[in-house]
Amino acid sequence: MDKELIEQITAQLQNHEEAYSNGAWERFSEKEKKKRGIAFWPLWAAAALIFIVAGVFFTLNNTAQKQMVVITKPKVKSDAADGGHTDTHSKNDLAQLNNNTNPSTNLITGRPIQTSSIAKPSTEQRNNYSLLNASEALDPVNHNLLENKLSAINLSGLKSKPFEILTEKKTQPIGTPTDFEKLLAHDSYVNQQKPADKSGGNSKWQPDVYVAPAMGNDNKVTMNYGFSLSYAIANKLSISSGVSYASISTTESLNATAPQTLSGKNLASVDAKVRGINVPLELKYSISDKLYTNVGVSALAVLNNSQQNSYIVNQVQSFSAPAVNGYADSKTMIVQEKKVEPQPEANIDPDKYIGFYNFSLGYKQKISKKNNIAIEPFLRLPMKTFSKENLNLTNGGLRLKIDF
Amino acid sequence: MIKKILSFEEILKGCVKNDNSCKEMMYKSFYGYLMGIILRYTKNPSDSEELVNDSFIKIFKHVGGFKAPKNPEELQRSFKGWIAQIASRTAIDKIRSTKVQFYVDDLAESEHPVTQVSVASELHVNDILNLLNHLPDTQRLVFNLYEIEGFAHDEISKMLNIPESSSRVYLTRSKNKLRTLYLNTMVNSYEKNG
Repeated sequence: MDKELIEQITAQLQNHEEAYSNGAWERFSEKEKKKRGIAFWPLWAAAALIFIVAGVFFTLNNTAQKQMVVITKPKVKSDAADGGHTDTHSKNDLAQLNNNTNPSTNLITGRPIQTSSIAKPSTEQRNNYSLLNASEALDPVNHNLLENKLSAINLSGLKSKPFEILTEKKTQPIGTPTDFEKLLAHDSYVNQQKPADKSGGNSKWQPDVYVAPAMGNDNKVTMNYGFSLSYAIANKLSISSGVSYASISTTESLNATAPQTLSGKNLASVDAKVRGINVPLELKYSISDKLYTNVGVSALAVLNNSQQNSYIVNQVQSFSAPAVNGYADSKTMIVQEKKVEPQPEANIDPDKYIGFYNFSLGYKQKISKKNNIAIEPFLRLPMKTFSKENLNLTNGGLRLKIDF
Repeated sequence: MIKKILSFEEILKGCVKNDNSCKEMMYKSFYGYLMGIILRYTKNPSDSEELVNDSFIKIFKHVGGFKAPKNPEELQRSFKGWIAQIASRTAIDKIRSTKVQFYVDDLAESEHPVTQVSVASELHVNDILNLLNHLPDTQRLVFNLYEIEGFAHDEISKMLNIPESSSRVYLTRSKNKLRTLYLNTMVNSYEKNG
């Protein structure tokens, strides 16, 4: 009995199948779709890449494509011409037949025969067609029979019939490739049109103006104003350039002590202000609809560069005070003083251009259908230090942008 | 829309091509079969559909790798064998992942509450599944693998990372437990029925 039990269990379980529960597939396919969306993104990326490559390929080869399409058309024509050829052949034969029956014309050499063969076809052809049309109208269904009948009845009818079939048969196989090629051509045409459309519209180019208060290490706020234009090179990536008026101020304080000599002066700090035209070249990446980040370089063409140096100088001051006993008490003191002098022209940094690395992170907000405003904190790092005092022109600020 | 009735071979080819309607047909026709297998392994009915679906995900992913037998008549049978293996592996993986200490014997479980009352003289599948539900997990698994799937003890020991001797012990214990459970159930039902 024990053995039976286990055997029974085994047999039952092996043959057991559950019933299908309704909606299981729907639950499964939903789940799979979700998973696919996440798991197969590399496939999508690959597909996108292939699409881009194909698009470039088609646009480059577009002229060749067009030629191919043009070529196919003459093919059809040439087939028709071929058909015509057989026709003229038939007419030649007929003409020859006619010639053979006419001994008088037979005597005449080549030329008259040719003229007769040329002269005849038009009438012959018409006759053939009229014959065909009449017979087709009588029996439009069974073409094979018709062909047989025609061959039995009329020699010219037989010759013209294959012409009909030939064109029908040949246009069909050609028809499919031309369809396919048309599709390709259409595809490439669409590919070609798309960028043209977008560049024609405002979707790829985006101009904007901005005002940007910025602050260097001297805690003075300077203003920058600019215009920039960005071009979308990909869905999320765009390249931008522009022109802006920029002013940057900086300070550098040196740990100066009082000069040792009476007439000496020690440089305590340098304040510099550089104004110029800034031309950036930036790469903008949209993280999301509203967030984006910019990385780029810019060149600042210096218009005006002023430096003010503060020195610590020693000054001799004498104080005299009347004493109680009538004597005047005079004291001479050396006093440290700060003195600000503009940097002499000769010592000002001769660099006409200053390079910067630019980083920024922006937040965009739509205000109307076409316009966006954006707040974009930015940081500008100079590629090298400025002037011989090693001024650090690093500055940062907030760009307030309006797209239109 | 009227769906064309496809042969199994066509469905299989469609699945290889990732055709959704073929996948649907495949899913619907083998859902019950796989569910039957899964239920042998899992106590928790809410897990079972998830496991069936996990199995199907694997099946659809690897269906291209399924090697059809030379004899076309055996196609469906060998395919069923293939998917059954996938399903049981999926179930075993799940049990393994949920149980950290997998091969700790649960002999402490001495008393088994017997709630099932079997009325029919012949055992029904549901009764059997209920009996299985009362087995400790490891015993149930070994019983399944050995008696129903037909694995040998050395294969089971590799699969479950247990010594071969343990596999034998588990099998014996599971059988004994099934017998006592069955007897108890029967006795209970006799008592109830008078």
